Amino acid sequence: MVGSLQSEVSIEFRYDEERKRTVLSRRKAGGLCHLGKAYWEDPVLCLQIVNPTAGLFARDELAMSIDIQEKAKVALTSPSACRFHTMPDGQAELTQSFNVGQGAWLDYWPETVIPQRGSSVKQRTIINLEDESQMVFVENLTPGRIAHGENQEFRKLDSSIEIYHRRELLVKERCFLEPSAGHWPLSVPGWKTCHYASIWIAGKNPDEVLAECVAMVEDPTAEYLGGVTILDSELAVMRVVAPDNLILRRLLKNLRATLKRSIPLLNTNFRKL
Amino acid sequence: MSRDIESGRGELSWVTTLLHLSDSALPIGAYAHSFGLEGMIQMGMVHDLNTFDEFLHRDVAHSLKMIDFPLVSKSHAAMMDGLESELHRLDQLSWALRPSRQIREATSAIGRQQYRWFEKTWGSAGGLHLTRYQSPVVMGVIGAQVHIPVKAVLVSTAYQAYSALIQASLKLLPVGPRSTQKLLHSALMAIQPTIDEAIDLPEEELGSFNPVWDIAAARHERAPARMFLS
Repeated sequence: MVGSLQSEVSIEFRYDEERKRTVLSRRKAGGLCHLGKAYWEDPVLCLQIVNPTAGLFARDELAMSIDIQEKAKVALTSPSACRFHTMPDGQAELTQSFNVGQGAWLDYWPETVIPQRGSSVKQRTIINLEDESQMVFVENLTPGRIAHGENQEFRKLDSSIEIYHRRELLVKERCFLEPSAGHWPLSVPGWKTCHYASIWIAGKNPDEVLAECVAMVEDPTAEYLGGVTILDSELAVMRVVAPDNLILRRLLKNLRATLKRSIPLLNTNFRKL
Repeated sequence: MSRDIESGRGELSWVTTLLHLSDSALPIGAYAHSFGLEGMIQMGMVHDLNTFDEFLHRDVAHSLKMIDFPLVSKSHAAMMDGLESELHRLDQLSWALRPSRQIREATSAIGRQQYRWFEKTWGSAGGLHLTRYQSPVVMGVIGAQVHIPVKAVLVSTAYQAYSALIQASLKLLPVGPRSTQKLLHSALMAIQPTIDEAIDLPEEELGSFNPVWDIAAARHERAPARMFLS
């Protein structure tokens, strides 16, 4: 396809028994996805996933496969928002799959996704969790370039997430937004814009892990609206909508700080400016 | 697993079964659930007849079309074809598609009771054992076992969903039976054109995204006071 990029990215992490550390054991990247230099915040290996075009254009396709093998501990982030650039026709496709091996840890805390005016996006996320794995996985959606006066001016956003435990489906959620048919469901009466985030938490005793966060997320006096639910014995989700991205960012920062107390593996520095 | 069940004689014998299953007098426990409506009211999103009308016609209709109808339809077909493993898969899929703990458990509690009453009243010729007993899967199974046309099962599914919410609304909102019966009628009329589309919905398109309702249902789990289980 002229002018568009199709990239397949494959990243594999394993726990090196001799070095007693997680290592990046295989990488196949390039095109729409580059990797920053990995560094340790023991026992976690941190890595920034960088998109050199600062987003995807029409007919771009990115398929990303991340395998975190047994006992490996990995934190992934992105340096800036992932944009789906303005596209007069066509659509961009992003498929990402994560396998979190037995006893492994995934901290996936990227910056927000911004579907810009006229963009059309198909995004599919598949996560498989093996026994005794742990995960914190963040999704964050900004409904356009708000500073440019955009609010849900994309053509279509079709984004799904599936979470499995040992290949058994635990969660299937599909966000399908077509603003030409109206701004619902990404809207709250009285708000000009609606920003969304979800934080998926996998691991033992999610009720204990999230005890401190519940009061913050479900604070009835807050400017945002949030709820926490334990979906399965080892899986929970916190969902939040906010009228402003700064409010949401502040909440996410506070939630991460709070979660660190019950999940010390989150105590990493993503080294962002 | 058999789909031959004694449901009477005559070409409309399935109608008696469908009426029986759809009747709110069937003790399946739906009266104890509001399926997130109480949470929406506690958050101030639904507060009068107009906002309740919008909730039924928009939020609930979308959920029926994108989750419940396709699941009922696929379960009906799987039962007709005798595909028990497919029913187990659809049962787990239905669980996975529910956005909060209470909604997951409510859908299973009602489905389990539906199947229990079905076995006791109509007699089971094969006995079906599911893990979750999600209500849409159970409705599809029963519909196939009693030879109820799938579209009729879907209308019954819509009726049960709307009727349960309307019963809850009478306790939670300043609405009366006359206005809510009008609402029930208009919601059932409006949902029917979506049935054909829902039957043919590819599985990859199943699922809904309604963060405000999801958040309301989640907050309801810890509400300081509540009338309903969900």
